Formats: sequence, structure tokens, C-alpha cells
Amino acid sequence: MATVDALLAALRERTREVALQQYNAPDPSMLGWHRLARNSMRILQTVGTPPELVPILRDVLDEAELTEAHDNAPITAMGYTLGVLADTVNSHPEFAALAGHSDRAQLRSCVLSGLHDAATVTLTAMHATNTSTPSRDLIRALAEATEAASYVPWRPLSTPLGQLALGPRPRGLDEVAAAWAASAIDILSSRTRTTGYAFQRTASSIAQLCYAAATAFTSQDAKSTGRVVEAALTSARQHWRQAADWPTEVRLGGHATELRHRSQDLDEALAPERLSTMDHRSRQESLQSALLRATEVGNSHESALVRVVQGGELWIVVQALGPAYLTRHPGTHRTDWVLDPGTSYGPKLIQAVHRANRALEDATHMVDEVQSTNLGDRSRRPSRWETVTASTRSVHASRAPQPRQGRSVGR
Amino acid sequence: MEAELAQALGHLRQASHQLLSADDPSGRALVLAAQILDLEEVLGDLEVEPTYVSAVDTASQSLVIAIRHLIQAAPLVPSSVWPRVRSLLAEADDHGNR
Repeated sequence: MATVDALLAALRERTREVALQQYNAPDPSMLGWHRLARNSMRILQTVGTPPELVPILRDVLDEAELTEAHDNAPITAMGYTLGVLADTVNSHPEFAALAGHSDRAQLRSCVLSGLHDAATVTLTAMHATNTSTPSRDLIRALAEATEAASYVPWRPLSTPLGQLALGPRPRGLDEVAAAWAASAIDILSSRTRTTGYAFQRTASSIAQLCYAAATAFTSQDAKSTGRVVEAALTSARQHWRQAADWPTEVRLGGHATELRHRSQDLDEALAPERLSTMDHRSRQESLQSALLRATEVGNSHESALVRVVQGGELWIVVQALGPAYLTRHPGTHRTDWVLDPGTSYGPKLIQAVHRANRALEDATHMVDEVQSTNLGDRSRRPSRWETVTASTRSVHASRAPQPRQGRSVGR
Repeated sequence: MEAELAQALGHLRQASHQLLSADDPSGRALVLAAQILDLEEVLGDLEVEPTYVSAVDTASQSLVIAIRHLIQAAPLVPSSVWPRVRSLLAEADDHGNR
């Protein structure tokens, strides 16, 4: 479905078609204006209607009631475009609320500018055909009230509102992370379906998750606690990037379509523009929960990799096995893929994911500690001022992973 | 044509490897690498073994070479791949020169 930005571009195009109409076949009446005014009002109610425009638009609705232009008229197309735009903007009002003054003003200007151009064209047509004075006065008032907006240059919106589109409601990070973890664990625990893609992609997803968490736990917390957590998450991210980075000499084929879809869902949920629609506390809580799921995936990853390497299931390019292999195996080519005869590639991959898991557990433990402290602080002291408590300071000292009592992914 | 596809897969593998082993303070190389892994997975449906290829200078160059091979193998390539390729090229222009 079209995004708000795409619909605004379409509205500009439809407006241009309406403007061109005056040199072609001017519509001498208010045909099509009911839909135009009604759908404009639906958008303006969300982003703010200029007060002087409210009575004018109401009068237009009354005057133009139930009169439609023919289906192919540009003003009809403009009315429909405004209708889809209204449906889209109003489908998730929180996006408009969080969009900020600049983007709300831009959206409002686009709608008012469209109304201005349509009013100007209609007014010209009315002059030419001596249409009744009340209607003419009404459209003239609308053209004048919306004129200022017609000078605002068009630009795409800069907040997530611009990317909002009709369709299924975007699922929350908790739900997306749960589906991703289930899919990853399912394929990694399978003895027959585990693939190189599953290893590399789950590792890169965990790295992305650590990156998003590092940002969320430091962006509004410049205290030393935040910096320690950020350092731990950054370290975990680096280790998981290394775990995702398989040498090109090694591979393990197969399909993981479901995991690909779930990983892409997770990418979208972790995108800064999506995370920015959540308030700070919800974002931290969701990322904490996702990190816990990631530790489960990480453990499955490591177990599966150990199984694959020890089972001799990795494929390796002959070139990496040295010239002696070619001598011992006549008829084999340097570019052939053969089952790994026990090189150091597999153990190095295992070491990398082992280190990544330890770093992730360390970081997740710190996040848990900070969140527990924050929860305790909030329940004890509902003040807007944050205080560094003794338990918070203890986080600095406890860098080593601790037993994770009472932690579960379902929490 | 399958040989072209195998070459394309080989260069895609190099591109993701180069991105994952590079410095990446902004996190964009990681995102791009994940998208390349996804493309490899989609192309994996064609049951073609990747050719092992030597690395070129940058991930961006690997990607461009891979796409040239993909174009040579176009009749075999699912249509759903091309929007991904276009998106990857746009991203690589910004972030793949590493």
C-alpha cells in the first residue's frame, strides 16, 4: 500500500491535473467538492485545522452535498486520493501525534494547497458560466483562506509518518522478536535443515539487536551506568558480527525461507524510525526482552554449530586445503567444494560464537541489572529526578556474568 | 547461464564477508550485509553452488560484479530479486565503499 509520502506526491499530481483542467474542460459547478471537502476535513482534524477554515469547509459540505463529478474528472481523483490519505493518516493517529510540528504543518500545507488550487480552478469556471453568487463567494473565501499554504514548498515528511501505509498494524518488537527466535531455534535445532544462512543471519540479527539496545540504553542516559551497559552491548555486537562473518572458503547450503522472513521483520522492527515511535521506557523494556530471546537463539546457534562441525557437515573449497590435497585426490579441482576433512575453520567458527555468547550474556545481565534498579527506583521514588543508588553503582563492579536466576524469555 | 549465477553467488559471498569484517560504527554495513545474505538465500532456491572467487578491493565492487553476473543469468533469476538488487545498489553507493 502507498505510504503517506507517496500519497502526498500523488495528491500534488492530482492537483496539477485539476489546475490544467481550466484550459481544457472547466467544471462550472461544485461537482466533486463534497468528497474533496469531507476528506480534507478528515485529515485536518488529525493534524490541526486552521480555525478560520472550519466554517468555510462546513458550508462547502452543505452546499456541495451529494453532487459528484464524473468518475474520470480530475477533481474526483483528487477527492479519492485525499480519502486514501485520510484513511492512512487516521489508521495510526499516534504517528501523527509523534510526527512533530514541522511534519504536521507540512501535511496540513499539502492539503490546504490542494484545496486552494481546486478552489481557484472552480472559481475561474464559475466566472465563465455565471454560477450562482453564494457558491462563488464560498469558493472565493476558501481560495483566500488557503492561499498562504500554496506558497509552502513541497517536501517529503521527515518522520515515520511519511512511511506509514495502510495494511496490517505493524507488529510490536516483542511479537516480532518472539517469532524470529522461534523460527531461528526451530531451524538451528534441526539436524537436517540447518544452513549456513541460518548461522550467519541469526548472528547478524543478534548483532543488530545489540546495536539497537546500545543506542536505547545510552541515548537518554549519559550516566556512567549507561556507558558501561553501552560498552558491554557494543562488545557483544562486535563479537556477533565476527560470528556472522564466515570465511568465504566455507559454506553450508540449504533453505531457510521462513527464517529469512522473520529476520526481515526483525530488521524492520529494529529500524531507528520504528523504534523512535516507542517511548523510551517501552523501547528499553522491549529490547531487554528481545535480548533475552537472543541469548536463547545464541545458545541454539552454538550447539548447532558444534554439531555441524563435529559431524563433518561443513563444505570447504579445495583451494583452501592446499596443493597436497589435490595431489592426493586426482581429478579434484581447486574450485570444487568438498566436505571439511577437519580443518581449523570449524573450530574457529565455534570459538567465535562461543565468545559472542559470553559477551551477550554479560551484556544482557547488565541490562537486567540496570532495568531492575530502574524499576526499584521508580516504585520507591516517583520523582522526575534520577538518583544513582548503591545498587546501580554495583553494576560497574559486576562485569563478570552472573547466574541468571529467574530469567526467562517469556517474562 | 548457471555458471554466471554461480559467479554471482561467489561475489555476493565476498561482499557480505567484506562488509562484516569492516569497521562499522554506524551499523549500516551490518544491515547491508544482512540484505546480501537474504539475497543469497533467495538465489539459493535455484540450487546452484556458488563459485569460490577471490576478493576484489571493496564490498561495493564485489556487489557490482555480482550484479553483472546476475544480469547475464537474468532468465534464471526470479523477478522478486531485482527490487532487492536495486535497493542494494542504492545502499552500496552510500555505504559499500569499504
